[in-house]
Amino acid sequence: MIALGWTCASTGVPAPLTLADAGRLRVILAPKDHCNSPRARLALAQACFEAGVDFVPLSATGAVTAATAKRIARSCAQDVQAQMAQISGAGQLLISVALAHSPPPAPTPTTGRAWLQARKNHLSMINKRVRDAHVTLDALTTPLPYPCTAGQETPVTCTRAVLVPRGDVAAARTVLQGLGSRLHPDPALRVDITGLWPAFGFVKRPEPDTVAYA
Amino acid sequence: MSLELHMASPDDVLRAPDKSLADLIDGLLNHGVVIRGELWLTVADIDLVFLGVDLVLASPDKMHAERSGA
Repeated sequence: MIALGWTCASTGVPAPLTLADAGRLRVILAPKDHCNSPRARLALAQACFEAGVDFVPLSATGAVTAATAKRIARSCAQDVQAQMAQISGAGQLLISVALAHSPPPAPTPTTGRAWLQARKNHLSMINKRVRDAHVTLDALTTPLPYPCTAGQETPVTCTRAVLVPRGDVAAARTVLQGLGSRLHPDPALRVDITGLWPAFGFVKRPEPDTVAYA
Repeated sequence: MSLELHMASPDDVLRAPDKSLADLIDGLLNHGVVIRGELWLTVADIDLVFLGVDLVLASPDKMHAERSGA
C-alpha cells in the first residue's frame, strides 16, 4: 500500500482508498496498482479531497510506504495535527503564469561573439518574462484575503498557490476575474487558475514531537 | 480589453490531452510533504532494513575501499 497523507478523519475516504490507524492520526492508503505514477497518486489525493476529507498530503512524486507513513505519524503527531489545523476546511487554487507562445527562432549565430550575444539576449528575455509574470501574480494574489505561497519558477512558468476555504472557491474565482479585468492584456503571457486542490503548497515535512506520548 | 484568466477544474487538468494544462501538474507534484533519503525494505508492512540515502548512492567500489581502510 502507498500512503497519500495523514488525516484525523475516521471515515469518508473514497474507494479504493483506506485508512490505517497510526496512533492519534490515520494514514490514507492506496493500493499500489492504483498509484504507480505521480499523476495517478495526485488523482487519488484529489478524489480524497473532493470527498470532503481534510488531510496533510504527501508529495505525489514519491511512493511512500504505509510503514514509513505510520512511523512518521506516530513520531510527529503534534506537528501533523498543527498542520492539519492550518489547512482544515481549505484547499489551494493554483495560479500559473506561463509564456503563451514560443518566441520566434533567432538567426543562427555565425561567430562566437554573436553566439554569446544571442545567449545574453535569450537570458534577458527569460528574466523579463519572469519579472512580468511576478508582477501579474502580485496583482492577482496581493489583494486576496487568503494565505499565498512565495511560488515556484521554471524558465517558462511562475506559479503560486492560494489557500482558500472550501466554501469560498466560487467567490475567490469571481474576485480573481475582477482583478484580472483591471490588468492590461499581455499576449505573451497565459494565466491559468486551477483548483481546488489539496493544500500541497502549505504543508512541510513534519518535525518530531518534542513531548513523548505514551 | 483585459487580462484573460483561464479557469479549470482539477478534473480538467488531470484529464487534459492539451499539454499546457497537463504542464500545470508540475506545479503540484513538487509540493506536499516530501520524504527523501529513506529506503526501507518492507515485507507485509513490516520494516526490515533501513538504508540511508548515502549508502544507497555510494558506489560499491567506494564502499569496499572504505571498509578495507584504503
